[in-house]
Amino acid sequence: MGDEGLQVFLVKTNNTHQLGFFPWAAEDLEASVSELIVKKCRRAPVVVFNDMVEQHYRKETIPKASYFDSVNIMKRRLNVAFPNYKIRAALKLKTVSGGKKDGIPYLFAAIPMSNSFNKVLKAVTISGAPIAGFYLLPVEAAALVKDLTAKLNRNKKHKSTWTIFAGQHHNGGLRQIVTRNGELALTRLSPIVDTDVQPDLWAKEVASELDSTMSYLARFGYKATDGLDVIVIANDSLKDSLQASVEIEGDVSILTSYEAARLINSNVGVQEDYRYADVLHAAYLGKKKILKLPLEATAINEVVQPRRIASYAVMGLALGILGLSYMAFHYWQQIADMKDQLLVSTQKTQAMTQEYNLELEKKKALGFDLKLVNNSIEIYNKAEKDRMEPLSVIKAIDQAIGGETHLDKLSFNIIQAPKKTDDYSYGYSTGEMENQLVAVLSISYPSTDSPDESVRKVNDIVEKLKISLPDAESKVVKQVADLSYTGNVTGESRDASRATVQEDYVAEIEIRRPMK
Amino acid sequence: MIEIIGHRKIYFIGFLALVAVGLYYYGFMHLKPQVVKVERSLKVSKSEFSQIKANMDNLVIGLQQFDTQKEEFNKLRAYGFFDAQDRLDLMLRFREMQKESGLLLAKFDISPAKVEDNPLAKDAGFQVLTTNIKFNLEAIEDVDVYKFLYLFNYGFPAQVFITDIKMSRDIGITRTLIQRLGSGSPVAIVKAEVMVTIKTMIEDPLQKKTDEEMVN
Repeated sequence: MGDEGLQVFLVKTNNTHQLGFFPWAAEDLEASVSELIVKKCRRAPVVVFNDMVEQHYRKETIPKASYFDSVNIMKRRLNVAFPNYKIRAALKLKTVSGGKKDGIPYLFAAIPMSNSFNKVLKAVTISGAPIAGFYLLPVEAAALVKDLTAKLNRNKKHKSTWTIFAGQHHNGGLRQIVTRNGELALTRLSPIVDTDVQPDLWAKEVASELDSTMSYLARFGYKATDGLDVIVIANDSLKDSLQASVEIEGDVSILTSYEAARLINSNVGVQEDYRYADVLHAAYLGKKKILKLPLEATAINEVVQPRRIASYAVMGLALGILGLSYMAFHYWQQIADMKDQLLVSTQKTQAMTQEYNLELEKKKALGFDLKLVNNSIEIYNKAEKDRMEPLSVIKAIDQAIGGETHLDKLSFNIIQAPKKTDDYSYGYSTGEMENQLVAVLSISYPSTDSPDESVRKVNDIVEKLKISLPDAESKVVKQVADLSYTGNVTGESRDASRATVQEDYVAEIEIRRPMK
Repeated sequence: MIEIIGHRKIYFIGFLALVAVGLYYYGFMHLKPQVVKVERSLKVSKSEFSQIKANMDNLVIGLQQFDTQKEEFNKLRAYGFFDAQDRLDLMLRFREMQKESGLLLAKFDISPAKVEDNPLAKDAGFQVLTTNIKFNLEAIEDVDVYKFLYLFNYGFPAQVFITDIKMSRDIGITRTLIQRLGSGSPVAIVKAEVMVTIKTMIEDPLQKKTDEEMVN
């Protein structure tokens, strides 16, 4: 964006094309530029460089603070510095060695919201091309000047601190960019003749502008001992005239835009005239991945933010699709693998079943019904686990009570009870259930026997049962001498005149044995 | 907003969103359940193969151990494990056991036989038949009941399960009782109620086999 109009360049990997110049006064600027972006540039990302006269710069020092605080302070200071300009930005500069360390130096920049700016923004918006950003040409071109100086001075022992880069743009003005230690120190745009028909006139005007710049440099602290490089972009035919006209103490290099581009590994392509520098800026900056100072303004954000969000949405969706595709492919592959395995397994099972049935038939034909033999034995043995085996318990009871004791009742049944662990776990229940044989025997003793004697006899029976049935648990569940309300008392009552009560004492013993 | 972003980009985002939703549904609603289904089928198939392989191995081992098993099988036959549970035959045997044990009375109640659902028996072309029998026994001495149970447990042609016994001596030894016993008229002193289940295997009428087909 120059003062006269808009210059459009298409930067490709190996070439730079000047697509057209559109004066600001043109009525159909937006439509034309938009069409150019769509048709010739295929909606490539658009970078806009402001190369107008009205650019405002100020160096400020911001006190050291935390990241968020310093951002807030910087924004506030920027607002105070340029209250009337809506498009502005701040660039953190290198701290000068040996200088004051009480803050961080910043370069504040601002431009006014102009009609031309709105036209460019509208043209890009209409085209639908993504906006890479709005930048100030002198700030970004400082990097070009630095690279160019480095290339030109690669064999010099003492590197210069200052560099003046001067180049005429298609708009007609001479843009001078002065750097100190590679950073922008000063920039000027001054109108000069836009023709080289009179080489001496052009050379004198350029030399005069350079002299003016030199007079400014003294105010910026320039000393002759610092060293100065002067780079001027001009046609081959003007080099001699210019060399003769420039009377500055320093290393003066006069290059065509083509030569300068080759030095910094760019290509300006075939141009009618190699004395213009704007194509060199386009070739260099168009390929830079990251630029220094993106300008911020509400108008820019209104276009850039939705597009950025849309771009993120596209990226997110693309990533999502990629992930989902991978997942779908993974599932599909799993299914295919498992189907193959299933086929093999089914075939193997079928073959094995066939072989098995064949073997069985063969054995059966020979008189071996293996299935019947095996299965019937298995059925029988499984069922054996449910056998109560009461006879061994009856035999043990018979031996334990002997001939004298009176066995009143005997019952056997099977119950489901919690399985117990071995003796060392103190009968701790495992939570599993098992079938148990439960035998309950009732013994009665005549009332003529003393209760003590009866209790002893009952205990003797239990001890004998424990010995003869070691795998069973034998215990007294009702003792003969239990005359409390829980005890069982039997007897007979006669008429009151005889007043005697005959009572028998009854004891109950329980035997529990786990089934097989 | 749409103008700033551009119709083409909006359509493109919409298209991508549709593709993403489609892929999500295809992956999670179609493919994933299919993975689970095929995985389950594969497990079943592998399990079937393991089973049939185990059967095959058992067949080989079975052939090697056939002599031992044949002996065991013959014992089962001798025990009467393949008895048909003929009701008349059962009653005759109960009478014999009652006389042999010296019981005064052995009342029995034989319930209808039930066919157990047993896949092993079915596989061999047989059925497992179970019958519940309830006995009410009366005896002078409890040893007679014991004898009866002993005969049942070891001499009855079936796999016998005594599931419940309730035995009681309800009559005290009195002068009258002794006199009655002395006169030779028997008196039931001990009474018992016994529940028994008998189990045998019989040929499945639907898969009739001849005895010759069984082990020689």
